Parts: sequence; structure tokens; C-alpha cells
Amino acid sequence: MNRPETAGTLRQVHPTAPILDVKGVNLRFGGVRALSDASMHVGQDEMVAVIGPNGAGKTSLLNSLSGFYRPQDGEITLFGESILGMAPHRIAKAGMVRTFQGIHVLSTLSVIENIMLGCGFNARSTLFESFFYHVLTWREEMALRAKAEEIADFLDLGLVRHQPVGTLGYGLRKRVDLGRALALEPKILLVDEPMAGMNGEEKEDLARFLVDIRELWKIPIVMVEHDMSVVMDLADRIYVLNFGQVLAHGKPAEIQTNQDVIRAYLGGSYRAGGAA
Amino acid sequence: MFRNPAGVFPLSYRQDMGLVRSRSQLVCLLLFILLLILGPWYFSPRMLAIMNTSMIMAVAVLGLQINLGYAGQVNLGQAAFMGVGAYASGVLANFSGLGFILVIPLAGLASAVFGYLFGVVAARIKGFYLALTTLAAQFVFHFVVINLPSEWAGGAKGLALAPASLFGFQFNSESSLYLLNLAVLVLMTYGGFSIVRGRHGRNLVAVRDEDTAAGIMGVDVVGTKVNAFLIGSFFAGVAGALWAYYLRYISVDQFTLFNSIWMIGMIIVGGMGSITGALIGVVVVRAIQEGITSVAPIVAEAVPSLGGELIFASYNMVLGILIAASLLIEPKGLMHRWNTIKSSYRIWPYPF
Repeated sequence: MNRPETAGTLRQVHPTAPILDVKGVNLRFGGVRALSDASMHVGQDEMVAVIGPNGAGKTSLLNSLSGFYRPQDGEITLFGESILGMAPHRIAKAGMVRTFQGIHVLSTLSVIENIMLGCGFNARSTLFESFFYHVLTWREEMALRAKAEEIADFLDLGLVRHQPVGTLGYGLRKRVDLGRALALEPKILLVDEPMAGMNGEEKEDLARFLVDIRELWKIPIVMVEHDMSVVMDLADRIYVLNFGQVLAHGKPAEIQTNQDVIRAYLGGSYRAGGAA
Repeated sequence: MFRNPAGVFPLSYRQDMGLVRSRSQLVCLLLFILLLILGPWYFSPRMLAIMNTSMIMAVAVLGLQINLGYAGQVNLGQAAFMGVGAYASGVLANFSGLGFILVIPLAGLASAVFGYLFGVVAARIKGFYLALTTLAAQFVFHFVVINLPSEWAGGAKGLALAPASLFGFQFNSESSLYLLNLAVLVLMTYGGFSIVRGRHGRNLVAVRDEDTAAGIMGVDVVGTKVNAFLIGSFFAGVAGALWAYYLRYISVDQFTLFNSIWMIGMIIVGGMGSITGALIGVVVVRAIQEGITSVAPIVAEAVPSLGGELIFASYNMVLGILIAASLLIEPKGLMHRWNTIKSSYRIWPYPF
């Protein structure tokens, strides 16, 4: 499949600039500090993992990035432009797309319609044209369908394309969620606990899809994940959050030997190179 | 799950996404429409009148289906939106002298503007609170029409219209109006189907199912909610204009909260989230209404102690029983039951 052209051109314009840059973000809910002075950056083609104990602020960080929460201060820039305070659908259109921790697919729509919904993010047919199912409208629909089919092929969803997503199993639904995110032609993909609740086989499948996405599309992926073996295998760099602060960041091997991290998160029994 | 009829294998995406899947379906559809067109030649006068009001009601219910069934935006004021359309067409026809071909869509637009206001509200609130707000549409409409100068909208007296005419032909009989209503209903049904199967329809369903997730998928949630009300009230406005041309006399009492509730009842009976379901709901509920109208006088005569209020009282009761019964027995509506039957016979004899 062709990767989006824009990703390539932007790389030529800013060869070294980080795609996503988060600086000193503070997010408070009343008296609770969900994020304090959190900073991270994501460069080209990187797979970045965000880990941390429960309540460390991982999902808050992701929600701030995707526009659900508005941090009180700090700076979030995507391709050098501030996205702080932008509506979620605008951030998605700007190229930062996310999947969800739970299942947030539209259960009454079929698999292919779910993906087409994502594909339609920059469709232009107006209500008036749609009312008459104008030539332009159905051409656009056919183009969306063709694109959605490509993504369904990539994720091996062809066989279930006409099934309502509500009737599918958990692993497949997560895959539909991923497909819908890909339909938005992401320039950076945020995945929130993709492996949660999956069995070993489903985890392996999904990990392979993530690796494939990275290779084919050449886009960076930010992943929040609890499964340490997945994180250590896939990620290039890891950010560790604790109490809303970035406790440590670095390569998986460095994180595994970092004493602070071991104390805060991995537990006393964790040893470098060993299993979590 | 949707299944094609046996032996139908779509070879292109266009075929796979078409509404009419096979030649025999197309023939059946055309025959059905032909049967309806020939209606005035074989319907009794009473049946013709029932069909006329049902078809007008169906246009408004289609709009409500898109607004409520597809987009999930509760609307208890569809009759008021219809009333706005009726008054807009009345005022336009009386003061500007435009032909009905222009007046009907303009009445739809006038109602859409009124609906737009509630769409903007819907962007902020949901569920119960939205229901209460749309309820206000009903009272705002009543209040405004009654208090406008009576030279404009007729006030409490109501407003009379000249019959619709096209190239000298007057739509002043039941049968000519039947054809006019049928033509508009067919167009609006087509439009309804077109909207819900395209990207706007998917957006509406996305907002209904998960509006926060929809935003992340690139759906403009606020815009989609506004669109839902625009479409719903446009359909209602068109229905109102047809109503005005049909009765040629409109007053606020014709567009009450009671009518709005009946329309919601029709959608519940027919099935939420289905254009065909809306039409089936209208047919079933109207048939029951007319059944009561026929039976009640006979009952009232046989049992005089019940009194003359029987018809209206039984209307209320039957509506309540009908909604409760369909929610208990088939909450997804008759259309869902029909789809289940259809897919079971399509996969017969291997139902795996």
C-alpha cells in the first residue's frame, strides 16, 4: 500500500525536527495533578512507548495530545505547529490519530463502514449533493470504499467486511479500531493499550501489524502499554511516567536497568533481561 | 447481518453498495410504485384521504427518523417543525405568489432554519435535557404564531391558502393531491436513503453510537448534530407545506405535541435507524388509528354509557399500549424483525 505522500515531503522539509514535541505540560483536575511538567518528543519513524504504574497519567497524556483534555499550561506542537486547544477532530485531521483503550468502535456499522467512516475525514460531498446521490457523491463513495478495502486487506479483515462490528470478537474489534485509525492517513499514530485483554496469539498478531504499519507507512507510533515484553521488544525509546511526571526516558535496555524505574514500577524482583 | 439474495454476487463496489441488488427487486419496486400511482383509480374516497395524510405524515417521520433514529438526537418537536413549514408555505404562497414548486422547498428551508437553532443547542446538551429543549420548540411555535400580527399568519383564526397550481392545473381534488404527495414522498424517500448510506449517514450513526470516539475519527461532532436537525426539520418543513396545500387551511392546533409523540411512536413501531422502518411505522400506526376511528362509533353506539369522548381517549390509550408493547416485544421495531426473517430465509437450509 502507498504511504501518504505528505509524510515524505515533511521529512524533506524538516529532516531533524521532531514530529511531536511536548514541553512542560501541566494538567490539573481540581486539586489533582494528572500531569506535571511532562515533556516528550517523538521523531521520525520512532516507536515510542509510554509506561507507568496505574494512575501515572499515561492516558491523561494521550487524551491531552488528542484534544480531549486541555492542559492548563505547557506546549504541544505537531510538525512545529501548536495544537493546544484544538478540537479532537481537527487534531485527527492534522495527522495525529489515536486508538482507544477500551473498544470504541461503532458496533451497529459494518467493518467496512467503520473504516470508510475514517476514510471520509476529508470527503467533500455536501448534504445537498448527498440528498440526490449525485454523480460526485457516489464517485467519492466508491473511492472511499476502494481505500477502505485496501486497509481491510492489510489488516486481514476482508472476510468479515460486511459484519456489524458488534458481532465480532474482541481481538477483531481492536483490529477494526486500528483500521479506522489508519483510514485517517495518520502522520503519527497513538495507540492506547492495544494489547489489553488479548490472548497471546492476538497480541502477536497485533504486534506484527504495528511493526508492519511502521515499516510501510514510515510513521512514528506512540504506544501506551502495560505488557512489558511487548514494550521491550517493540519500542525504540521508552518514557516512564509516575505521578504525572516523566521519571525516566531512554532505550529499553537503559530503562530496564534504571533503579528509579525498578523501584517505582517494575518491582523489586525485576532484573535486567529477565521477564517482568 | 446483511446478506445478498441467493445468486446475487456483486462484482463492483458500486453494485455491492447499491440499494437495489437484483433485477427482480427492481421490478418489484417499480411495480409497487406503479400500483401506488394508480391509487386514485381504485382507492375509495376515504382510503384516498387516509393515504394523503399518511404520505404527508411519512415525509415528516422520515425526517424524524434521520434526526432521532440515525443521529440519536431526541426531538419532541417534529410537529412544530412541520408547523413552521406549513406557515412558511402559507405566508409565502399568500404574499409572494410563488408557485408550489418553489414554495415547498422554501418552506423546508424555513423550517430548517428553525431546526438549526435547536441543532446548535443539541451540540451542547444530550438526552433528557435535549428532549426538554425540543419540547420547547412546540411551545415557542404556538406562542409565536398566535402572537404574530394576524394579517401575517392569521393568529388564532388560522390561515387559508389558494390551491397549488401548475401551468393552470389546480391541485384541488383528493386524487390530484394524492399524486403530488406521492411524488414528493418518493423524492424524499430517495433523498433519505441517499443521505443515510453516504458519508453523512455514517457520521450521523457515529455520533449516535459514540460521540466522543466519533470526534477522534475525524467526524465533526457539532456539525453532524446540527446537520441532523437541519435534515430532520427540512423534511418536516416539506411535510408542513404539503399539509398546507392539502387542507388549504392551517392553524396552530394541527401541530401539537400530541402529533410529535405519535410520530415518535411510529418510529418505535417501525424500527429505529431504518428508512423503510419509518415508512412501515407510519403505515401500521395509521392503520391502527383509522381502525379506532371506524370501530369507536360502533362501540359508542352499542355501549352508550362510554360517551362520545371514546375515540380521543382510546387514541391515547392505544398509543401508550402500542409503544409499550413494541418496546417489550420487539424493541428494535418491525423492520428488525423483517430483516431477521429475510436473512434466515436467505441462508436456508444451511443456517450456520
